[in-house]
This record gives sequence, structure tokens and C-alpha cells, in this order.
Amino acid sequence: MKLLEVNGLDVFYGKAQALRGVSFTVQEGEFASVIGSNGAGKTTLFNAISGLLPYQGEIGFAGQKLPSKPHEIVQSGLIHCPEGRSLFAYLSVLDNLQLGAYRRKDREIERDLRVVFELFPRLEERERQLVHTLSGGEQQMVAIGRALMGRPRLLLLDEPTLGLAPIVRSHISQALDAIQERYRMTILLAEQNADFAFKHSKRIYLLETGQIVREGTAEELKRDDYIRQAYLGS
Amino acid sequence: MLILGFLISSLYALVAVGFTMIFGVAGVLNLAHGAFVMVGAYLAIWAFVILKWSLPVAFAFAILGVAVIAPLVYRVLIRPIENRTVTVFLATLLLAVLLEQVIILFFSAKPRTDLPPFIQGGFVLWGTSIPYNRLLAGVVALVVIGLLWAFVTRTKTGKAILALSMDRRGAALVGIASHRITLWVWAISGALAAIAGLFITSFLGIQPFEERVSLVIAFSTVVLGGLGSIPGSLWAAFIIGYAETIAQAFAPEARGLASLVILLIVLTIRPQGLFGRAAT
Ligand SMILES: Nc1ncnc2c1ncn2[C@@H]1O[C@H](COP(=O)(O)OP(=O)(O)OP(=O)(O)O)[C@@H](O)[C@H]1O
Ligand SMILES: [Mg+2]
Repeated sequence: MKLLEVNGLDVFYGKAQALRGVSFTVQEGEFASVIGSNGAGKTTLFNAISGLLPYQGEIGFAGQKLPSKPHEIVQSGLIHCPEGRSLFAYLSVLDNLQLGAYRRKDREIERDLRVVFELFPRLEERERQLVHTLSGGEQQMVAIGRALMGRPRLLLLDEPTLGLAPIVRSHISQALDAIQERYRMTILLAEQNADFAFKHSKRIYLLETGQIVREGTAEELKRDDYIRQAYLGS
Repeated sequence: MLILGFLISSLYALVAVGFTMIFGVAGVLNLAHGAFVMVGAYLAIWAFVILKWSLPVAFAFAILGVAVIAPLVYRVLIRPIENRTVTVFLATLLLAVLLEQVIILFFSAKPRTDLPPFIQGGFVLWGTSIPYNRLLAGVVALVVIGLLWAFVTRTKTGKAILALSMDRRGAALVGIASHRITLWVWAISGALAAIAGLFITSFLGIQPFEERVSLVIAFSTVVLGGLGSIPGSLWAAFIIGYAETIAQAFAPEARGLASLVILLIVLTIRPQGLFGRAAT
């Protein structure tokens, strides 16, 4: 079943067009990636989907039109873990995680908090610490944890390993595997690092200057000459 | 003097905390904040002197009144222009002048001293006579600040307020409806201003231009403490409260000036204010 269906998306910054007729779908339970280099428009795409930027075109989510306000979008189960993290710097790790569940009224919030602490035990050790005193890697774990606390039906992850040391990157990589295997969560990742995207995803979209120029399964695109030369460095 | 300084300071703290909350959450330097203090006082005078309601009812009416007017101001005046910082700044300035004029129209520009103390009498401590009313004002202010502190650090809405002041985008992405929360913040800010206005008026009387002094004091307090820092505002309120009390004793005309002098000195040494986070 199609969970996310984006159709003919155009986004402008003033007169400059950042996205041109972007269309793609994400199937329920699938791990998909949008890859592209600096300035391709990945963050713009995610910001439009989560209601932070105005756009033209249509976005369907779980068979319905996606609402337009960010808090309604969160309520419908589409959660965005943004580039730059946007954490609440002077609140504790625990407060940040609990605010991730701001819209929820169900009784499983505590259970999900346990899940986040199992994925990132380091956060439990530091639950009282203010977020701005954490290392970059730890902050990224809080950002992912906060997004998971919203109980996403679809999780948008914007460059979760940008600027992190290899060891932290592999830790986050394992956490993504665990999330996907255990919870069959649908994930859409934005990445410059094509190797990382290919390692995790089943379906890949290549974005260049605001347009999708290639799409297919990871298997197919791995054999694509252009992608191999320009993005996979092999 | 020490004690009077403390009691006055806690009222300044109420004014300053409301001002800093609006700045921290909505990014608005609300130049009409002093006018909210004044409107609270005049609503109480109107209810008590003209409508002849009992004093507690008049006080409650004034606090509720400003707690309703302030979010209305946000909804009607500020929200349509909220992304244009300079326009917002001017709008709040215009609103301040407008409210001042409306008050002059209804009450004339004469000072009014007919809002009586909430409780009469007093006592003498270490040679200073302290009216019960001032003591009450200090206690109420401290209790209100304590409750506010508990509210923002313990409740879900309170944490949403803090979150919004720290990262608007992050707040939107966890599903905080910023406009709703901002309405709350204006209401709280207005109520705090009104409470301060009531007590200040009941010991000093009030006149329409009084709002300028309140604004100067709120502004200095907030900048002194470090814009947007609530603990900073509280500390700064006490420093400024003492300065004002001392100034009042020696040169009553200089009220408002003392705070500016302190502000100037501190900002020269520490441009981000006492508790401000240095820009990163
Ligand atoms: N706020 C903005 N105002 C104007 N132009 C913008 C703004 N944000 C992004 N752009 C432009 O839109 C284009 C796409 O930027 P975007 O941030 O979406 O790229 P990206 O694919 O996320 O890049 P990166 O991998 O570096 O994060 C770029 O040309 C960028 O300069
Ligand atoms: Mg980006």
C-alpha cells in the first residue's frame, strides 16, 4: 500500500525555484531514500512535506490529502527529524524526548521511551543532562529518539549522520536497522552519502537541482553507470 | 529600605517576567507592556470607584480583563504582521500611545490615588514602617512567580512554552501549535502586568503616563537580565528594584532613570546582559 504519495511538487524561495515537479511514492513498511548532493533540494522537499514551507502540488498520506499545518501533520503520524536537529537546547534529554510525544494521548508513551533508551542506552545515562551540553552524536540520538516518541507511521530523516565520527555513524546505522526490523516502520531518508543510503534502503530516488532524475530499487541503481560514477565512487 | 526594596522589586519582577516571556516565545518586544500595567490599574479604578464593586472583585476583574485584552491584541494586531519585526515593533508602540490616549479620554490625565490599599495598617521593622499592603504585594508577587515557575517547568503546556522559546521549528515538528501557545503566553503576561499595576497603584497612585515608567523598568530589567532569560529577569528585577527604591528616596523625579543608568553600566561590561547566552 502506498503510504506517501507526492505529486508534481513545486517549491519556490522568492523567485528561485527549488523543487520542480517532484513526484514519488513510499510504500508502507518500506525504507526509501532521496539522495542528492549539496543544494539538490532534499531538505526543501522534507520541509514542504512536514508543512514548514508552502508548496504547489499534491501530497497524499495514508490514502488522504495531507493536512497543511505542521501540528496536524504530526497528529496524522508523519514525523520529521530535521537537518540541524532543532532540539530544545536548554531542556533535559528526558524533556526533549517527552515533548516528542506532545500530540499523543495513548498509554504507550512510557513503553516507547523504554524503546528509545534500549536503542540509545547513552541517553538513559544522561536523561537529566541539558541537551546543549551533549556531544553532536548524542544530540543526534536525541533528535531521532524525539522523532520516535511521536510514534511515526512515516519517519522523515534528514541526513542523520552528517558531520559525525565513523563510530557514531555506525551506531546510528545499527539503530536504524533495529527500528526497521523490529517495528516495520516506514522510513524516508535524505542523504548526500549515497553509500549510507544504499546500505539501508530498498528504494532510491536521485534528486538533482530540484528534480528527480533517477528512481528504482537499490539493486537496480547500484548497476546504473551514472550513479556509480557520480555518487558511489566505484 | 532593604525590605521595601525587596517588596518593590518583586513587583518589577512580575512586569519583567511577562515582558520577557512574550519576547522569548513570540519574538516580540512588546512596547505596550507598560500600557497593560496601566490598563490593569484603570480597570480596577473603574470597577471599584465608578461601578462601586468590592475591592477583591474589582481586582479580579482587572486581572481577568488584561488577561483577555492581551491575547486579543496578539490575535488581532500582531498575528497578521508577525513576520515583520519592525512593523510589529511600531504596532506595539502605537498601541501603547493609543491606550494612553484612551485612558486620558475616559479618566483625564490627572493622577489618581483612589485605589485603596488591599489591606490597611502596617508594622515597624528595624526602624522602617512597612505597610501590610506592601508586604502583601511582595508575597503575592513571589507566590505568582513561584506558580509560574512550577507551571513552565512541570506542566505539558508550560514545557511547550519553553520549547517554543528555544526552537520554533523543533516545536512545530513535535506538533506544538505555536499560535495557541502564544495566546496563552500573552494572557499570562497580561495577567502578571495587571497584578503589578494594581499594587503599584495602590501605593503610588497612577496617571496615564505611568506606563512609560513601567515600560522603561520592564525593558531595563529584561535587557539587564539577558533578553529572553527568565532567571536573568528575576535577578535583574531585584537589582533594579533596589536602585529604584534608593532613587525614589533621594530623587523621586528620577524614577526610571536609575534603571537606565545601571543598564548602561552593565551592558558596557557585559553586552549580552547578566544571564544572556552569548551569541553562538
Ligand atoms: N531559506 C532559503 N532561502 C532561499 N533559498 C534557499 C533556502 N533554503 C534553501 N535554499 C536553496 O534551495 C536549494 C535547495 O536547498 P536544500 O537545503 O533543500 O538542499 P539539500 O539537498 O538539503 O542540501 P544539503 O545536502 O546541503 O543539505 C539550494 O539552492 C539552496 O540554496
Ligand atoms: Mg539538506
